[in-house]
Amino acid sequence: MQEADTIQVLGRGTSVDFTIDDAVPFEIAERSLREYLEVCRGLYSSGTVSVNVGRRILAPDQLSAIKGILDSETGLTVSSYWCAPEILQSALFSRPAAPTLLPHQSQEAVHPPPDTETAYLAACPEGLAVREAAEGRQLSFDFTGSHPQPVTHDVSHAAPDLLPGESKSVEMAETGAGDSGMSAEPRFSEDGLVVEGQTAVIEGLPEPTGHESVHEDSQEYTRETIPADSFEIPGEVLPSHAPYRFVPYVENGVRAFGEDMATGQVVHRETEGDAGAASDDPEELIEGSPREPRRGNAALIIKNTCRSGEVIRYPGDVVVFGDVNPGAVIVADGDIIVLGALRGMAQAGAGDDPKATILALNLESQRLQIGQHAGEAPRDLKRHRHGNRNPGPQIAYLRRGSVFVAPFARRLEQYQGGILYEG
Amino acid sequence: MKGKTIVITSGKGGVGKTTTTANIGAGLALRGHKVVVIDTDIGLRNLDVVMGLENRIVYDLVDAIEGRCKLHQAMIRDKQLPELFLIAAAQTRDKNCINPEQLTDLCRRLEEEFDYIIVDCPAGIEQGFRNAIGPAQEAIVVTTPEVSAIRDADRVIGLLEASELYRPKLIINRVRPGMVKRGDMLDKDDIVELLAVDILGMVPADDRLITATNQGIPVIHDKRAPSGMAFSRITARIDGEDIPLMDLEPKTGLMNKVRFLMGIDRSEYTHA
Ligand SMILES: Nc1ncnc2c1ncn2[C@@H]1O[C@H](COP(=O)(O)OP(=O)(O)OP(=O)(O)O)[C@@H](O)[C@H]1O
Ligand SMILES: [Mg+2]
Repeated sequence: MQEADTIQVLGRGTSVDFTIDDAVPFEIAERSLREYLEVCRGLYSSGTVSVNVGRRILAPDQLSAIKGILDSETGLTVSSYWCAPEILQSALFSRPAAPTLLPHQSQEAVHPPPDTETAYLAACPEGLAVREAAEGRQLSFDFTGSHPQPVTHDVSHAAPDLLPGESKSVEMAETGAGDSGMSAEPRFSEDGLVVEGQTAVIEGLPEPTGHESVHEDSQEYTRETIPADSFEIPGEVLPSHAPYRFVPYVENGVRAFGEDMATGQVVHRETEGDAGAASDDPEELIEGSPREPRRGNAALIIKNTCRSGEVIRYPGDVVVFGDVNPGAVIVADGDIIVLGALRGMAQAGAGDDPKATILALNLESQRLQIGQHAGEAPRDLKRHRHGNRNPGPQIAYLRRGSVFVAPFARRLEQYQGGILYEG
Repeated sequence: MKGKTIVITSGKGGVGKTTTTANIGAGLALRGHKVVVIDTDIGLRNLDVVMGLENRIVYDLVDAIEGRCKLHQAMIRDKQLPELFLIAAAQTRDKNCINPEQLTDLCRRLEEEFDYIIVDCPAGIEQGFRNAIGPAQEAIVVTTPEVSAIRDADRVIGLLEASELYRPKLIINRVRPGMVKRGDMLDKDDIVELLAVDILGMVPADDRLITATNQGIPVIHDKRAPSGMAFSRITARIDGEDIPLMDLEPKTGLMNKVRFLMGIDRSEYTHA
């Protein structure tokens, strides 16, 4: 049982996450991974995977070991590592030496060990994106983005001349070099990470073992998903108690990462959503995925207050039936709708969609981001709103690279002007 | 009969958890209940000092949990109220020496005998916090009207909800009605709106509370202290009485001003 849970696999299509339990010794994790892949031999063709190492601090050789197993046992390429925020934070702030979490061979190709955060980011392979959420509690460590873009940093220079609609992230150059996928070798150019080889598709991934228990536990979360084009709202409201809600990219279903309050362990859970039904038809999943992630995913409905320290990352639209308090963060690939007060950080169109919008009954956030463009509320916002504390529903949208906030007037085409949130 | 365990928590330090615990404990005992208050701030105990029981500690919480004494040996009877008991924190150990399960066991045993078990939680959201909320059936979050305390309260409410302690109740401590009136302090409605929880009461900033604390007598025994009266009302609400919440009003009127200036009555406010 213990062993079976050591490796969990989530997601299908072109993006798959491996989660390696951080409580067991590394040797066991290593062996479990090997055994898992042994059992599933032949089911993988090629593709990219993310590896979640939880709280484990991995030395470079251990990372290479994991990468080695995945590379040799399957046609998979490791594209990113995820880790618990405090681990990354210590890597960022207190460990001046080259970060232990960096897996790529290309590490030598870059600069000498950095001693500041900036230097660290510079030394990271291009494409590393660090998303630092409220008070640094949630971070993801992602090698698939295009430029280092920590949300908490000035992003204006990060994506200098991005045209609306143009996506710079996840550049998997298709050279059609056979379909082994093994040859995919990251190369770093000025334009970011370029993987030569084929954008691969993983077919027929088996259901991970120990999955059922995960589903049972998921009752605890209010992560409900409904199909994007359905008007039916699930009748049952489940209480939510995920202290951290962290939702990385997955093809279907939603995954919440966080710290289990009682045990202090990092938990990984999947909420059900329409995952079960959809996964019967891999075609559908593959079709709707990487180019337009938000179309392929159901909206995430959150039926309670998002409080300080909570991070919601979702590859689709997010609707909150409640407030988003200061210190909470919502990052969505699609639109964000808050049926309450929005006071925390919100980023819509995080997959670089300039058409995404943020709508709130009460829009009070100091800082908003749409696509790669951030905006800060003017200091005299009150005056702009004529002293009106609650001027009614507001919508934030992007025009010519700037974030504007205007009273919500039902038809999107009408929007012009509004209050400029300077980037 | 089955008792109820209530945790008093805040996230931020120094907002008045220990003061609140002592006063709610005393208040419930004054209303005729059997009450035990537990200090879980291991390593930084001070509930015993606030209650004036420092010199009577023989065994503490960790002794009881680790079986070095019987549970009743670790319970110190209050000076004024025979139905009020304290279990003190160990001073020479740290928060990691107990776990939530152990504390839950202990509280389940106490619930057989007592009406209320009030748990004073340490500041922070680490092990000490986890220990303290483990046994709780209800939670009271203490905050002050400052943005930092409120931000922490918000975080703590999220964590409490995550531990299935829904709808915690809020106490706003150290309120200065004069400042609120002038718009220099966040008012109750803003705080309640943000935190989206029910309010249990407001306690004014009160010099008499500091005097009482220094004497080791919970201020609720001081019939003239506005903060004491606020705690009485809070206790009554916990006990199920339906007492409306009134806004704290600065004292007005010439006689009060004179009294204040002469130092007869150092408290600035009437109670809510
Ligand atoms: N209403 C009040 N008016 C004046 N002083 C107060 C009031 N409430 C608390 N204090 C004072 O504030 C200080 C901190 O209070 P207390 O020890 O109860 O806080 P705490 O939250 O338990 O702190 P810690 O996090 O360190 O455990 C004490 O000196 C107390 O006397
Ligand atoms: Mg205290």
